[in-house]
Amino acid sequence: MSYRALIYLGCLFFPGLLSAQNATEIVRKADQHVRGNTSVSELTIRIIRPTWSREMTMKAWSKGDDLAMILITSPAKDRGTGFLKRKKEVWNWLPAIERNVKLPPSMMSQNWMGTDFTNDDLVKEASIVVDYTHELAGEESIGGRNCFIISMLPRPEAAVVWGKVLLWIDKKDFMMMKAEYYDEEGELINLMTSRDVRQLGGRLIPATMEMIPVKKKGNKTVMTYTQIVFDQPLTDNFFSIQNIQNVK
Amino acid sequence: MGMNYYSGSLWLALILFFHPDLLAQNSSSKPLIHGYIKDLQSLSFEEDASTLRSMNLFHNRLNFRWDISSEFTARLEARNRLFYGDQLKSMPGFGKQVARDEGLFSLTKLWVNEPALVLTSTFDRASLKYSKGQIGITMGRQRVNWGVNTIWNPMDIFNAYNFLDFDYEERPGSDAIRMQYFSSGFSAFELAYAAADRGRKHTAAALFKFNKWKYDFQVMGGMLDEDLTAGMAWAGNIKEAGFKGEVSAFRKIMGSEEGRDVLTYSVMADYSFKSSWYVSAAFLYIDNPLSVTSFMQASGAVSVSAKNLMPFRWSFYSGLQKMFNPVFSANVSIVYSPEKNSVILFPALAYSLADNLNLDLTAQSFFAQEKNRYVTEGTTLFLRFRWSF
Repeated sequence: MSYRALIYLGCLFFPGLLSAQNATEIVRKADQHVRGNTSVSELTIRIIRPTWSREMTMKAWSKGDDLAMILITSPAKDRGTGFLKRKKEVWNWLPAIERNVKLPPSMMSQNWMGTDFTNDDLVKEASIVVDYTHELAGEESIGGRNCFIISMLPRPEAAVVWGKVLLWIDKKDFMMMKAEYYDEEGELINLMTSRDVRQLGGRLIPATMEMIPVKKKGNKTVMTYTQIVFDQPLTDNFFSIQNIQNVK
Repeated sequence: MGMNYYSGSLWLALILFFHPDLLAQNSSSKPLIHGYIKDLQSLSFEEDASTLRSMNLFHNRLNFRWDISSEFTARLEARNRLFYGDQLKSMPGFGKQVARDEGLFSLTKLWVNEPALVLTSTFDRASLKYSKGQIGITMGRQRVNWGVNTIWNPMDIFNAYNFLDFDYEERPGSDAIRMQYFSSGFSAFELAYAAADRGRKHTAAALFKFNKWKYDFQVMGGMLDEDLTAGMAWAGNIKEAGFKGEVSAFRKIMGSEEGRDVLTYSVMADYSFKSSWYVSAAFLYIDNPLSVTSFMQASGAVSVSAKNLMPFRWSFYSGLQKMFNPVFSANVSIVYSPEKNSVILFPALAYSLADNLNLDLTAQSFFAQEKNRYVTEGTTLFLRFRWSF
């Protein structure tokens, strides 16, 4: 049997083999596209429910997969509250009592400050690149943009909330245009859609993302970037228990 | 600090008390003043409801922050409280008690002290911070917060607080000089000195903290008043659950006869379920507790020390919290001590009316064995309204 035939057979029986490498590369590029080497962003999160809505604003810093910091700027009651992530550890800075409280890992799967995003979506303890296996599952056009559909399964050892995630990634600019989050029973729980594609920090970015819990009618959370700066030099020590008290 | 200057500041604070949005509307991109207005209506009763008594606390907090330069930051935080209601009449000395300032300087003023009306103002933060590179130096009234647990902090030697005083979320500050050196990420070395009771009490200690094996660790040594003290703490996790603990030991080495050697420690665990339930459990042990007879009696104590965070040898805590949705959550805390089977039941409901408006309903009930009877020593209901700006 020729070498080529062996590969052909392999791909027939293990279709993931061929696409896994590419799929991971696509996810890596998409992740890199919104993250840069470092990013400093300002965003607004609006929680929408059938009878009311609430809004909060924040500033976020990130460097690679391992370092992130979030500072709440409104509402007034939560202003100054901070979150610091270093690798897999997360601390919560409480300005009223001037202390960092270390958060239990199980808190990462909780909704973040009552939004439809989990803590993990925001603080990104889990990495869409490292903590999942990836497979190309098709192609589809979303809002006039041709997208790869990537099927992601969490690695067994990874502390991931979801059973499966499907991502729609724009072929040309590697923007994440849509995502579906499934639980361990394979049921669709959250649907994320992106819109309002424009230049932010010198990159083409969907400025608005909507997270919709599909089983809860009339509920959604809308996240809008108002400003992003990519690749501003930030030292690792910027992400420290010292700086979370000082950042503005 | 001159008396005139001090009184003037208090007056300024009082004016702002009544016109809080005067300066909050400051049009600069970084407003200098934040704070809130709270109204806390409480209703207390003993076993039969015939003893019903009520009190209202109108409470305003103003936080001033001035970033003088990239290195210097000044903070001044005032707390103005107006108490009124018939319950005050049955509490002689209440005004003096709530207006007690344990600091080096008295930054507290008791404006009105009538049988059913008390008005008091205090600055519980007044500090200047110098921060450059890895060094931070803070002088003045500040919170030197060395605890890691969320319920009981035996290491919080500078400004221990009464855990039942839920309305004082900022907790007291102390008049201190604090030097911090941050070596990297989580590692830091700190030296702090605080003077209290107009210079009659002193606390001085050093703290070293570091992160290893995904755990935060800290060790401390120093003096708390007449005691030599040493402590250590950790914060980490077992699987997905948080796991934290603090130990402190106090050994009397000077001063009067009545001191006590104390070993105290607290361990806690907490866990969040996907369904928005959060559970936590903790215990506190004090090998040589004060001779206080009940939780109820201890709940009224204004000053608490890291040596006696609770009145009994053993205290067990369990808490259960559920966030029903982003605007409504409920939680219940229970504290139990084998001493007379004492129990504190501490349920609370929290509701957000709008982005800056919150409403909470809280209760505190005290139960204990008395001779052959299990009795309700007292219950207080609190309805709190808060507007933050």
